[in-house]
Amino acid sequence: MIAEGLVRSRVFANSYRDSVELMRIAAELEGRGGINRAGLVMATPANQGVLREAGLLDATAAAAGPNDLVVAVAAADEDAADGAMERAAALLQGAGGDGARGGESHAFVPTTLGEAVGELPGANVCLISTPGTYATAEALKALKRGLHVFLFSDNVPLEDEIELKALAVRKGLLLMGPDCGTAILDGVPLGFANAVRRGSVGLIGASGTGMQQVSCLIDRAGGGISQAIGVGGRDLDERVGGVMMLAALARLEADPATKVIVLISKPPAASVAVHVLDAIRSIRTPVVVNFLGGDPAAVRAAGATPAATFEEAALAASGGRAAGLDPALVQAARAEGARVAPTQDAVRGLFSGGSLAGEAKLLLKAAHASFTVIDLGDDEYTVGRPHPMIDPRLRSEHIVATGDDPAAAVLLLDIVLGTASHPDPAGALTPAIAEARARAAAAGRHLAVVASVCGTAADAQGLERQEAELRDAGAIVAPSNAQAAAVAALIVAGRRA
Amino acid sequence: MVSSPPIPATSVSDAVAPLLVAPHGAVHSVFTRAVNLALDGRLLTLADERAGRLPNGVGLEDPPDFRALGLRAGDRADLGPEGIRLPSVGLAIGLSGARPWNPKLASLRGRADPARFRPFGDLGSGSGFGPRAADSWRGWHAIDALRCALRAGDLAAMLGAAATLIGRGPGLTPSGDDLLVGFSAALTATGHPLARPFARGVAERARGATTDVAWAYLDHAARGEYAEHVHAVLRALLVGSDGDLAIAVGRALAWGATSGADALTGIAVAIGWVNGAMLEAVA
Repeated sequence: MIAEGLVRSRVFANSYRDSVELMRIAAELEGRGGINRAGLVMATPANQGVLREAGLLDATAAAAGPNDLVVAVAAADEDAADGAMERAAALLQGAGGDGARGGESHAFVPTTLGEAVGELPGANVCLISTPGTYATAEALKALKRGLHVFLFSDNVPLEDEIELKALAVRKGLLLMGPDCGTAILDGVPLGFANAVRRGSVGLIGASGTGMQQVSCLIDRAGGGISQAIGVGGRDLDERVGGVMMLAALARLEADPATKVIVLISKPPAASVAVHVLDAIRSIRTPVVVNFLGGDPAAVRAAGATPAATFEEAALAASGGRAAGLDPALVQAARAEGARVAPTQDAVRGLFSGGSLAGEAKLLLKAAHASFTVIDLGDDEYTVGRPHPMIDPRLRSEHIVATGDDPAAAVLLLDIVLGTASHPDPAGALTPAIAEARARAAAAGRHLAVVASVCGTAADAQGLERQEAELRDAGAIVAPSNAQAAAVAALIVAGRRA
Repeated sequence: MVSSPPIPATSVSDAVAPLLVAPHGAVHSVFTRAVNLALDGRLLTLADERAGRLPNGVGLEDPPDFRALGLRAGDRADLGPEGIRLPSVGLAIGLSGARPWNPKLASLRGRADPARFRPFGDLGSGSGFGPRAADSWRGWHAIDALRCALRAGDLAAMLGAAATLIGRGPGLTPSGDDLLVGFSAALTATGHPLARPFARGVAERARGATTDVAWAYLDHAARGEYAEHVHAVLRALLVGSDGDLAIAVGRALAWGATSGADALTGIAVAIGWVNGAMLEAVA
């Protein structure tokens, strides 16, 4: 991809900075307004070649030597370029890194839990992200040391999960996971999480992107999150018994900062639902329950507020009410529907978030739309490759292939921002979107694109920037996943006769 | 001005011990917890030993914040029998109690089973040629060419592929160089006959084509000398348990932003593990 805009570079001669610092600074520069692209590399001949191919090599950068650090940007205008260069200089002035390897890495990286606790004696949470084979042993060690555990690892056997959670309950600790993608504890994001305001809503979820969506929509409604506790996708399985959801409920009930609790999950096993609803009855804090596809009557009977979608859950927790689709979205859907041929009768959902995919399926089914929704974060697609929230390439391939699908009327996408996600997830997909639309057009079809962005203005990727990139690519951008699914269904329903 | 008591060094690499007799050197680069000294055209690194011993390292226990002390590139370093002195900031490093460490990587002659990398997923995605890299495609093509050339036993083709990787990629030690260090180490540990000529050829081509720091590691690789974390991964891979390997890989991945993943990718490619990112790039 050749960078567009005004190219400017600055050389920091014989400048040695830790790689971690260099990558952090490069990411910050790319996130600045008016900066189309940024590169920050040692000016070796090979890297000068990389800059040249990227359209970022000017005469200044070309004259630098291998021990010189080059900062190069493609900017919208002079002011943006100057601002980026000033910021780079300031960051480099303050940088340095620990450089334990003569310029690499940090001074001391603990390699055992004991060493880590020794370095940080006040720590009370341990994040474990080893391969599943080793995760149980590490989690046991952490629990025995009195640490709450955020277990990011997947492929942990169910029997191990039951044993770990039993131990956690005995010790009064939380075992978040396994396969726990998201938590926000005392404002600190763990795993995939968004930069949301602190506030009075406590979230408990067996669903990673579900919690992300609810927390972002609460933030957008002006509210904030006290704690977001992930419990792992199998917690509400009959064999696990929802023990962590129950433990988390008790903790949030005791938390003075939490004024409302939101539970997010697929419907629990019947026996587990009884325990969870009993627990809800016994607490004083108001509870909103989003068991996707679950029975609202049982939730109401327990004295809680049912929410059919993540958006409804967020609005209920923030004291708002669903106002239906924005008229502008309805109008845009009708306009797109009028361009779609009668033979194009299907919505093709390509998702990176499993819970968002699940919600879209439910809503499209309820709208009687013909659809396929693929969760590209499912194990089936992630063997030997990163999650699609990190690496967009697999989804790009699927998007392009949708352009050749004669039945496809709408391409439905989720874009998830926040920690650990790709630095520019929308920008990474827009070339594929353009290619898919071009292929459809070449075959005489119009392919509508509908997307929602799960994120906040404070996320590093920038909510507005991501939405703008999608709009520039011709997508209708809805404010929530649920509204995006509704718009997609409207387009199919309104296709030309 | 040397006023504070000497900081005791805990280890000295055999590879750089002979350099410590030079009377003077200069500070090459300064980091918070590490300093590179230029001595007789080579680099010596003073760094926290707990992060792992280095082929060119003098290990320190809990080193001071060198940047906060005001140490600057170009400052003088004096060497003597008792240790290293950095007069501009009044600092001395005592060498009398330092244990010698041999960074030479022996041939372990165990069986390198590529499948043992499977639990760690797509290591290449965390490397400097991962999906966020500007020239991921070109990097993986060169890596694939390196793999094919190794299978064919074609040293000239291996060096040709390596030339594309030298100095390429993000970081103070560009990813391509880190990868070549790992690749050379794996050849050395498995007793491959091309290990030494390949590493020497790479170091020769890398002089002036990459950063001083990266070249120092390639130069040590040409001498069969590697960092402790590279030793640990190869020992675990060839003669250790899965647990040993998980710990060693975890420790290696903690190096730099991508350096650890780059070196691990080099090791993995050398033993025949085929990376998902590479398959996509060259498909």
